Amino acid sequence: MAQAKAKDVLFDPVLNNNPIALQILGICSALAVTTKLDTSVTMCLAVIFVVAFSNAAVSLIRTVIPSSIRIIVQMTIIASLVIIVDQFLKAFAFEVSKQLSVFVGLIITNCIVMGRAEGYAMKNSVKSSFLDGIGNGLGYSFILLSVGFFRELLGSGKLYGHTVFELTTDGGWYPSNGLMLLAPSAFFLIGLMIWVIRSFKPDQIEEA
Amino acid sequence: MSRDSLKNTFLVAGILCVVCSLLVSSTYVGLKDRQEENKQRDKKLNILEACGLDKKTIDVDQVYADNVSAKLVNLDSGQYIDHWQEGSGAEDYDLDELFEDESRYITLNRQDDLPGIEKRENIAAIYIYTEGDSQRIVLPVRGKGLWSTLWGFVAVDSTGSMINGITFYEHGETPGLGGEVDNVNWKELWKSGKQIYDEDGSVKVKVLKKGTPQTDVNSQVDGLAGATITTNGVSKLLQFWLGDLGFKKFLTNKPWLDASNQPNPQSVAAQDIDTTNDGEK
Repeated sequence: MAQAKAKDVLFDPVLNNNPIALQILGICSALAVTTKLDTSVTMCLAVIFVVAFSNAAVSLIRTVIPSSIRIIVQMTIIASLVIIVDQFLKAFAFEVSKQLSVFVGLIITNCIVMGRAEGYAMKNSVKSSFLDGIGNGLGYSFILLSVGFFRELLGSGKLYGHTVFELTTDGGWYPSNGLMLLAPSAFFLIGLMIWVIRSFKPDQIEEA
Repeated sequence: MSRDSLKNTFLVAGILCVVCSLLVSSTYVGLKDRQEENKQRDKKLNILEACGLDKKTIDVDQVYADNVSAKLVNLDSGQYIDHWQEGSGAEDYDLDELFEDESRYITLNRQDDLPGIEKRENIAAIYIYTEGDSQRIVLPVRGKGLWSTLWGFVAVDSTGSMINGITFYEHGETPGLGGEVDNVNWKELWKSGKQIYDEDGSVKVKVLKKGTPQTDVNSQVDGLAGATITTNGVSKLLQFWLGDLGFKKFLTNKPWLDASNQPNPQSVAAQDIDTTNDGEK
């Protein structure tokens, strides 16, 4: 691959090559943690950290990793990073970490992380791998935050815990949309976003 | 040395394992105290939540320090006791340490062991929440759900016959299904008060499978949808911890009503608090 510009490496994955919207990776956690914005934000930061550093670490030792155990090596690095993130959350953001429960641990199985380590970091320099990690983390975050925004707003009438629409149950005017609090709504929202992105960027549409 | 040689494979794997385990273990050791602090605070919070307080409106540490006192209970006699081991009172109660000495717990046989906990301590730490004239007795409970052991608190009113609140502060149930045991709305169902015992003194309070019609509103709680096993687990742990091997003797003796045990003298007349259905607000 020709040396891509740092800016492209960083921002391409946000719209042009979004890991969720184009590659359809990492959907599971996008459904699970997006009922509220604060859990979404924490999850995004955790994923950005893990992808960036696992990419950098894998790239750093890419010339010495024996190909027979390369997946295991990547996995070990990713798992260690995820445990470290989990420990930090338990120490500094206890409430949120309780809400995220197993989903922090499940970053290990998030296909984006593994996919970038194997698909990019094994072939590229430490610097661009690190940027690629951040970029893909941002792409993931973009979708997660958009979904989280709509789910929290329409589902519980709040944004980041602050009431925006007064709920009818509290004497306001907005009847909460219960569907938005359930996982399927994230599917609908992600579907809609893919539709919107592909309307503006027709080259992303796959051949039928 | 070729990178695909056997030697290099072992070398890389070995070094990687050492580096990663060093990183992980040093993070763990470095953050342990803070995490422990968070856990203790969360426990306090749950004790207060079981008593019906809202964590958003209170200063947890302050309210806890002012209103809650920890006590030790001998489960076999149902009376207060001062120490659970040489020189250690209720404040340093530590279940893991207690289990280190075989004489301090009983091993449950399969028939009795409804919650699947294997060992039951002889001395338990309970918490008395006092506010004005009213008291809540907060009892620690634990038992197996589907994947994990649920750790929680049950708040009983001062007559010792009515549950007014329940919380779980540690569990590993499926988020969204069994994990909903810590959902505010579900916990709300307990606040109206649930009768613990029937006329014969056996535990009748029960969590029903979702969809089963309630036959006795005063002692039954709707279960969680899609979480039958967790729901059953909650029923069983209540049956155990409020039964003969659990806190039943303590709840019958009611040592908290005894004036000499009162943490603060103003609340002696705590017997006559409202035990009828408070109604949802």
